[in-house]
Amino acid sequence: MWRVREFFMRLFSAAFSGRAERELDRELAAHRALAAQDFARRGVPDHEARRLANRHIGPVDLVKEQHRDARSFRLLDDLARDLRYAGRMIRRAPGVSIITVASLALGISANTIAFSLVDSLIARTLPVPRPAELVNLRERWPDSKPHAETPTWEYLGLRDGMAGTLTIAAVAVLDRSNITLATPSDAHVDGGRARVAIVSGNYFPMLQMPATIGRTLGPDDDRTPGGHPVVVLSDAYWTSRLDRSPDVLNDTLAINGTTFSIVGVMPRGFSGDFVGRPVDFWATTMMQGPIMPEAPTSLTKPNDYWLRLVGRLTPGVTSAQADAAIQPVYQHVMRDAEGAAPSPDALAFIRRSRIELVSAAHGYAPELETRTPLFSILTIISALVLVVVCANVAGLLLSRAGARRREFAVRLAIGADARRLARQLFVEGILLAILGGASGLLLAMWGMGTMARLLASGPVKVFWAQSSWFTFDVALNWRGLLFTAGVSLAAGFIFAMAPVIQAWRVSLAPALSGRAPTDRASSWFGMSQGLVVMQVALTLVVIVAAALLVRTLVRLQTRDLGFDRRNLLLVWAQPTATGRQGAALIALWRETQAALSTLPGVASASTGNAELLNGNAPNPGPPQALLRIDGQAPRVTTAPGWRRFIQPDYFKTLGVRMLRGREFTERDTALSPPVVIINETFARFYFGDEDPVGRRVSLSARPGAPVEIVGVVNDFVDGTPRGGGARPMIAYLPYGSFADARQLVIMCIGVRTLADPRSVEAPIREALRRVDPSLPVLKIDTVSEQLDDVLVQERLLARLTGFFGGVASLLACLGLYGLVAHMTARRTAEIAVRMALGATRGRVLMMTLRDGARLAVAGILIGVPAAVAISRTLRSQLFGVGPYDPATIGASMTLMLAIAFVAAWLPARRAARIDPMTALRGE
Amino acid sequence: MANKADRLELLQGTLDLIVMRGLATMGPQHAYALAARLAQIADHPFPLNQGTLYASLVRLEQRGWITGEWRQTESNREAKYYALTRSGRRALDVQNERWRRLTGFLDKLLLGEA
Repeated sequence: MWRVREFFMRLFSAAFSGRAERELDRELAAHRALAAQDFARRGVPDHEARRLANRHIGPVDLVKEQHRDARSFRLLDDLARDLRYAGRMIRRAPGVSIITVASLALGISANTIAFSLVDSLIARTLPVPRPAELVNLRERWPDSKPHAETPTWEYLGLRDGMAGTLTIAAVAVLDRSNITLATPSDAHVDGGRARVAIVSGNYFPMLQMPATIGRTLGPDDDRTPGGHPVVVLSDAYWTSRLDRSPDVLNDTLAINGTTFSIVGVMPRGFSGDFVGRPVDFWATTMMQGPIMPEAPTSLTKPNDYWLRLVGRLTPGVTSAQADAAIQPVYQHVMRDAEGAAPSPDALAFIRRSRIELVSAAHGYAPELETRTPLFSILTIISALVLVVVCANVAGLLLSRAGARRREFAVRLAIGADARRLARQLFVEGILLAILGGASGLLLAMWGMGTMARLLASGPVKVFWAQSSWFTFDVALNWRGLLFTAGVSLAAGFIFAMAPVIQAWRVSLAPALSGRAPTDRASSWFGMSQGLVVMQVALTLVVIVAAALLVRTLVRLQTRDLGFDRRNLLLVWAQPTATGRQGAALIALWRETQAALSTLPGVASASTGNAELLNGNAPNPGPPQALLRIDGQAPRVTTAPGWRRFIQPDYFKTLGVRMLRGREFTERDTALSPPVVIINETFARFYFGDEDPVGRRVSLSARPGAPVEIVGVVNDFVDGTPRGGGARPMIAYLPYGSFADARQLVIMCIGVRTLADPRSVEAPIREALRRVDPSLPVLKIDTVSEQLDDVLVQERLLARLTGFFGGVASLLACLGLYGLVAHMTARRTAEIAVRMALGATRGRVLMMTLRDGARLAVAGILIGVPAAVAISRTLRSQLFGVGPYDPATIGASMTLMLAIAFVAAWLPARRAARIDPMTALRGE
Repeated sequence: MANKADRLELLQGTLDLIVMRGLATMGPQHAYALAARLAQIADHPFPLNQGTLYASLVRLEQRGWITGEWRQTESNREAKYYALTRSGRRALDVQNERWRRLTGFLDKLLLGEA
């Protein structure tokens, strides 16, 4: 028991040694007084008595040291003193300390945020048993990016073919409105806008996820189309809409008029496997019709790519084995679907296609995957900036230690322990690191929220079988904290060791071994110069990266899109939520055009189902003859063949040039002769320089009777401003020309205004509300706003690298300045002599500037190859500039030299102002 | 003049024991009196390095075996008087017993053979 008490008392005493020291002083004073009294009583004269009394005690420092050793822990005690001393040193130079801590905070917070981003990608696993067994399936066609959605027949074929090896389930996540919940007492709750997941019957058994209330959906709920009106709620939805009512199993949920019974509630924390899109409730694929009235036959239609496949490996089967097993099954399924006489092109296409299996332990996160390059660039840049910061701080500590070398010499001479001095220097550096790390942590917490918001924004994607908005969940967790602490201490260790190493080599080690400490100030500089050169090199790397990314952004923002972007608004609406179909859907389009084009301030309005500037890149597709001319052999192409439904005046509204022919009119309906407008690429491929207007052709985009080409329109940017890749061949069809209006579920309304587009925004919303109040208007954007959304990643990268480039430049400038100033101060005598011997001020100026230039040039020589090497990793992000762009590199080098010039200017001027007389006299 | 060799090199534990015994028999004492009294008993001037004495006192205080209190001496100077606590007395008994056993054992070992 007494051991515990002693331990804590010693700990306390180590931290608060002031009290104990004062108490001891008091006791020793009393001791001396009593001893002197004693001696005096024995007849010793007064001053002798006092001397003897002092001797009685002995060397006071020794007494104090022994006292301290007994009452506290030596190491802690020393550490506490070192920390207090370091704190005083830091307070003594507040300006420099603030800059140092601030730059450390910036560097460390950047790395923490980058770490958390990567962590959010790889760390969060799904809350299901053995998530490592889950895989996402994707289909990859030749020369294309893989896609996740497949038609029903493909899902069924793969599922049956892989039974026993890989249990494959299917899921589609969509956004719906028009939902009401009803309790048995007939109270109605607005279900609002919800996210529903349509899943195959084996989805929940495959995930092995039980419900907390009631049951989950199973194969028995997935047998007959429309015959299983049951849903399972998520815990979050049950909480927000039904207040966690225990009676939930007696409640019902109605979508678009169809009523479903609620049969279960899932556990808290489970919201499906689609990262960033938490599901509100689940239903089975057999209920696809009632839930998706705008596309009631997706379940059976062979061309509807609406189901995403996810599976669980049978225990004992590895992902590689499943991958090998699934390819032949896939080939078989695809060939079967081609029918009795598949064309050799189709067979070749199928042979080159495959299924890819990707781990789904962390769920399905396509947005995060596309952002991976962003994350890796951020990680690299953050690391570089932190190294620059460390080099800067190390240089600072070195110069401070260098200035104190006389103090060290004196302290060593009077008996200080060299190791103790080294430890003191070290603690100073570590304290800075701790302060920097703590501030960096705070900065990171603030920055994280902003980053999450920026990353979650993006262009509106209005797939008809997929949910659009998503949330990006990145937060600082214990792993991030640990990382921050680790990075701070590691950084602190590195820059704290610099002065220690130097001090050791120059003063302390010689003193320990008995020799006199050398005063070789020059040796302090070797390290400092190396540090500054390194800062310059790394700063150059960051500047080059920033320059490349900024140029990319500017090029993307200003490139000619092929249409007139002034005074143009893009209105995004989601008619699927209204439940309209067929003729009602066509009527919706007609009414919106009528309502909007008559608004004051609007020149014209026209809707198309193209998602303009949504970021989609054209992918090559299966080889097909998009167009067949009677009497000629069909020409096959793998260029992406797109089909767009548009209203009259579409191109006039967008400001796209009609090269030949005319636009559609209201007379082009389902009953009139079928017509088509094709784009320039399409026309050129099939007709060369001939005029296609008036020709009748068979169009794969519009099966059935031959179609007359009535116009050719200029190519314009439809999906992503990056362009590149294959140019799509687009066939434009009149919106009223299909009785089955399923393609009209995407509404992107172009509105050309007479004046400021923003002033028309509210009237547009009002007009649309009057047409159909249940039509959700997702967004109204000008073209630049839409571009900004598409280019979120590019903008983020440009801004961040630009910012860090600025920070690194500032630090490099300060580092250079400090070093050049120091070097100049040391050479004061030499300069004075030179001037006395006739050197002009100009020559002295040049001399100093040359000093700075030498350091800068060394840094640049190292930095350029490094910059080129690192810029290669940026290649996928660049547009309009290559990673070796000489103009960019040249400009960056010039900028670096300019920074070096600025840094060296002040010391150079001071050197030139040296008065040789006073300088030499002062020596 | 006592030199270094004359200073009794005492083990940490034994000094603690001596101090506690001294306080037990003499009652509350201040450090100087303790040192003087011990010198008297040992019949040796300055036998103690004062540093070790103060170290011992603070150690015993931290263990809760003695407490210190500032009082006035007879000659009206202030001094810190140390006294054994109850747990100190118990610890003293334990240490005494241990010491007796140790010395008995050593006696037997070193002298018994003779």
